[in-house]
Amino acid sequence: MRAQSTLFLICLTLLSTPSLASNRYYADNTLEPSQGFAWDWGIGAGYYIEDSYLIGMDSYNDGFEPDIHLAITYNNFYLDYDQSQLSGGLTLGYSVIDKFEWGLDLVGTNVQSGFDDTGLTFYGDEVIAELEGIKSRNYDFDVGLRLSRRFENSQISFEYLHDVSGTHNGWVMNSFFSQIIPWRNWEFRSGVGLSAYSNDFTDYYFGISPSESLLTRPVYDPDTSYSLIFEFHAEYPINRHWVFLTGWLSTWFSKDIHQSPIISQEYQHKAKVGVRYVF
Amino acid sequence: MFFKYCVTLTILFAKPVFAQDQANTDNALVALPDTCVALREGRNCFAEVDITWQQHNTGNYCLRNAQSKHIMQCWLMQQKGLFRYQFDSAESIGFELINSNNGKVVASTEIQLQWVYKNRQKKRRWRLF
Repeated sequence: MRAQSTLFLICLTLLSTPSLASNRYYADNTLEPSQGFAWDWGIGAGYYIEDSYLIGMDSYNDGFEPDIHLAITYNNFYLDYDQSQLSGGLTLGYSVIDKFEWGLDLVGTNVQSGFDDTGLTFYGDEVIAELEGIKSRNYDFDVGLRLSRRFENSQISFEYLHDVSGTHNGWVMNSFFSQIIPWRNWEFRSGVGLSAYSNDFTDYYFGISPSESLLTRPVYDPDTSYSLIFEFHAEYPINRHWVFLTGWLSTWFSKDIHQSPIISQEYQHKAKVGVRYVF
Repeated sequence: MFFKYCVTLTILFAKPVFAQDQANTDNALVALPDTCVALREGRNCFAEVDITWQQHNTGNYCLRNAQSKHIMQCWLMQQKGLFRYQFDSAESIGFELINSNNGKVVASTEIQLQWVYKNRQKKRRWRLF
């Protein structure tokens, strides 16, 4: 794992060349992108309400969660860490080609949150009866290529990623259409995406091995799966340092995921409001 | 005794300062709010700003954009005035009050632009929160 990560970073360094255009998923291409080194970081907190797909979890889970974010750009490199995301949200990227509104990026990111018999590990250490006895599912880290086409304030992207952490050793393919709409001092972002997950990925997270099976939890061996994602997010600057955030995320899963004995439903929704202090 | 000296000195020194402040207020051009905050550097910022002015002497005055010199409004035989301005800019904007009889600038102010995020390559995956 360590050797693969080092190799990835070396590749990124060797491929470094200057780039001028925006190269991330959400991009307001009407803005002149930052040159050289630029960064933002901040901390915040938010209140969420969630209807999780994991069995045994409350249909309407709510609570407070912290938000730490870091966004760094250095020429072709970029790094984003956003703890307001459930998955942890670490993304490393490098823009290989950026011409005529087309972009090709090398990216490394976490796709799937880990969980164990306490549910999504974020929520605490109380064992959920319906999940008792399952093995821990780890966070993955996937590396691959992203092809994107930019329009004025929208962007369409296609990704092929492969796990390099040894977690599931499978692939993930993502397609995503995003749009940024500034209105007065507000920024509205919306996106819709379709993802495909390899047999290995689906089996690792949603399969049930013979050692995990019970009378109430049969062995489950899924195939390739899909998900459809919709999100909406709004930000408003309260003053020079404070930002108000709100958003909605919905995900729908194909039958190979939602028919798993540890999944209770074919969808997952989450809404959030919060504030963030940007240094 | 020492306390009395202090009070006396404070009053003596305070008076001229107060007079100076009064003079500044009398010949003032004030924008409220005087700052507009945009989410990202480079993006236009929007605010409704009250620009008020007042002068010692009644006269003919005009308010103009300090950069473009574009006249926004004039007042005839007035000592004070109010202009409600819709700020919509990606840069700070200065304003000047001029005496329209001689074209001299009698007061000036500025609406400053600030922003929260400086990094203009924001990347978000679909799990935003």
